[in-house]
Amino acid sequence: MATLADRDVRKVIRRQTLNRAKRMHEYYILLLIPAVLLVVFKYLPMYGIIIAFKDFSIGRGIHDSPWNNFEHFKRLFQDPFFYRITRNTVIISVYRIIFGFPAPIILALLLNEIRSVTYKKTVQTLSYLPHFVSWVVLAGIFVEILSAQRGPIAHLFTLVGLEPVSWLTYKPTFRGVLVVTGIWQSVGWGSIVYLAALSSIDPSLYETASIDGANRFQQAIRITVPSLLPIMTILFLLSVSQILNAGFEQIFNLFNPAVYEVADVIDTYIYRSGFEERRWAYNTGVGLFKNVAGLLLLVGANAVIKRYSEYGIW
Amino acid sequence: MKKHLAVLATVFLLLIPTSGLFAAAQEEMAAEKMTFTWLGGGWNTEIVDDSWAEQQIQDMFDVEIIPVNILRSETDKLNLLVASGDFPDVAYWSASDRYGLYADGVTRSIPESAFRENAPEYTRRLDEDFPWGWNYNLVPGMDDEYYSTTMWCVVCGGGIDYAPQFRMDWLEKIGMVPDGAFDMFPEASEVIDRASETTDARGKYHFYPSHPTLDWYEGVLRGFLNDDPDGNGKNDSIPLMLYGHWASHRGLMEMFGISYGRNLMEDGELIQATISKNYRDYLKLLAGWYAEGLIDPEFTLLKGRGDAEEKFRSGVAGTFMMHYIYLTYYYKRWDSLFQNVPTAKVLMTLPIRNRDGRVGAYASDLDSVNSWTNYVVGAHVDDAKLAKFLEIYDWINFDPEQQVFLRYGLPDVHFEWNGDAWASRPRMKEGVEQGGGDQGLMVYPHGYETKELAALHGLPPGAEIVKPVLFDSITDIIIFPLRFDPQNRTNEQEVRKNYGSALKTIEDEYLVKAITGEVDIDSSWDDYVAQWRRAGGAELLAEQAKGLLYGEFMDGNIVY
Repeated sequence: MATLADRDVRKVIRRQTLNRAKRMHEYYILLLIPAVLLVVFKYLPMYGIIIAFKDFSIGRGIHDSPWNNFEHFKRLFQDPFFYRITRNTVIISVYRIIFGFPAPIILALLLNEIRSVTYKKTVQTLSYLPHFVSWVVLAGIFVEILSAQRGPIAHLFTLVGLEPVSWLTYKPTFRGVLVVTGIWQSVGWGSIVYLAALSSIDPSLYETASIDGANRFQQAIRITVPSLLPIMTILFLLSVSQILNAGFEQIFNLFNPAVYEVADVIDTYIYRSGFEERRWAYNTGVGLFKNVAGLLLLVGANAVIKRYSEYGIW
Repeated sequence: MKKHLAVLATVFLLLIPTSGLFAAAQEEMAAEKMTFTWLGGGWNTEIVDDSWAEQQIQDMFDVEIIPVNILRSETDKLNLLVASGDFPDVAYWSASDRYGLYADGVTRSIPESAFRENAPEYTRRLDEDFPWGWNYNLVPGMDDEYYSTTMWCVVCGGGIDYAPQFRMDWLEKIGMVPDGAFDMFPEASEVIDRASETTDARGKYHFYPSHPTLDWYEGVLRGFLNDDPDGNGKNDSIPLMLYGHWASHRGLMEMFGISYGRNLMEDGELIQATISKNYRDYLKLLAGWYAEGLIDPEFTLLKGRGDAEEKFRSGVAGTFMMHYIYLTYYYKRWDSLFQNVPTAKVLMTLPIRNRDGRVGAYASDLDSVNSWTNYVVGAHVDDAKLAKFLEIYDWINFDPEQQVFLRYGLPDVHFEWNGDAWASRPRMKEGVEQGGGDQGLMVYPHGYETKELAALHGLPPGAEIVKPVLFDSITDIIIFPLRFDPQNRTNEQEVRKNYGSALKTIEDEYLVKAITGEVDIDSSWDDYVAQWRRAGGAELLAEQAKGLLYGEFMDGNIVY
């Protein structure tokens, strides 16, 4: 039961809040603009999610289309390729996390150790460039580089007496190609956030460590890496939540029927069955399934990390 | 400063609804004229507003046209257009699912009476020349309501489009030029010279108007593999290129009596070509060739015809299946091959004849009526607007002058006659593009090849040699479906929508595995067919069995 004193305190707090709001009203008005945009473009469209549960027809519209008793989800789970595409999606994403997640951290740490500003900036710029090239273009380049008939790698293999490998049509190598080319394309861009975090580390920590006799490697392990842990945790959690997004653009442009068995993921399969055939409701159902699974993974991973450390999203 | 910020923000917020008011006022002004949002037929170039062609229609009918700048080739954007709910008033729709648009309530039906009242020339020509055309695009269960217009073509239908193309210079090198192959352009010709500014066609294009035997074909592939046909001293030439489209099998698969996408009777059951025993035999043939090194080992990386063309142009491949029009010089498809390899020549033959004498071909069109693309009308369009559209439609497609002007523009301004005025093919002037662009030419008219246009066009150089053979002489080898559903009375489209992707995945994967030897065809065949049937194939066949017999439909017997 609230006491008189409690009520008075609440009243004072409310008055203070109102006064602050009056004083800062210009900023609140400014805040209104992005808030309205957020609601209009991010939250209101969520209404459309209900077509995942409807036999949606554009002519009838969302409201008048009949409910279909989870038909899209049944169809998805009963699809003969559901298990395969889910398995491929998870495996490729896990590979990306295992090999791709540490790559930008390592690059950022290495860049942090470079003393020549010109050299550092050159390396940074070069590492960012692939990020700006679309996978449509990159795929064309990699098809040529990895060709068993005319690629430079095949030429090297031949020179040393090895049989050239058709990397993009050979199932055991295809996922590896995805991971390696994915890292090459994104490592520079991904390192930016870590470089930003590195720049915020107090230099006096390094000075003190140096006076205490710590070498460069020890400074990196004892100061730099622990300083990056919060941002690493957040990015790791976000990666986990994206496990069902294995990288549509890259896979779609590089894969072919010879490697469907190891490379056909949820997005590529749904693109063929959903988008090309205009099955909007089915597509929405699949999207909803992926998002719910992603949210659950995020919450789960966050809970595990919170249990063993002080970091996490919530 | 803060006050300034607040004022700015308030003004910004106020502007949002105000801009809506301005837009509403503009719409009101435009409402005085009937306005059409119009998705036209642009294929390669940007469609622009206020083009010359658009102005012609606007002036003639006192309407306002707002073109939708999406090309027919941009399937993704077209699908998004449907999803957005902003389907235009009229759309030139390429996809095969025009009925799907109608069934989804995106488009409306057009009564036959509306055609007769507002499009008299369309009606007259259909009545007189293609009366069975009235049986296409009917709303199921009705005999006088249509979900789209119906296109016809006086020079189309029933011919074959894809045939084997070879490197003729490679054939000469290995001594396998077939007797009877001839040079299509032995002499200089004004027409040919004017059609090209880059390479000389003479001696480059060859045609063999007969069916080579499978023995000859295999001999050629082996020669291409082993006899260094490009003379570079390396064993690196690719005898046969396949690519990730079923067109790459046309002219080969058919010698087994089947054609992709066509159904047929086998052992008393209606089945699809891809689960036929004959298809199994075809795969065995390809698997043998692959094991021998006769097929491009990286064929699965060629996603479509464009990739295969690119590879052929680079000069590394000996033969593949390509559209006959590529041999007609006019389109200059192989110019870059001739620039890369100055000694290169090409040869096209008719489809290959099997050892048991069988030979076949995939039909380019099932009929000269209702080919591929037609106009559909948005569901929101009322009868008055529909009537106006049909008037415009009749004028742009069948008016004696407009059917030329809206395709080519004005004589001496946009085009020049290749010979006598109104008796020869129009040739675009430099800087004027057909199929979109500033002039808007070819965007609004339908793809009709009317009698007048056909007479005017004639055939491009080379086509007058090839086309009569492909479209008239060998029609008896064409493989049509046994049953089909021209009036959408069965549930085939819905079944395809639900299972088409899984079926195609199974087919594509098995094709690759069988050819590359990843699976043993004999031992895996039954599992493949069973998987195909389980994945929705059985339902597809059940629906197809309810369709019309193709032959009976063409004879005018429409009984489901």
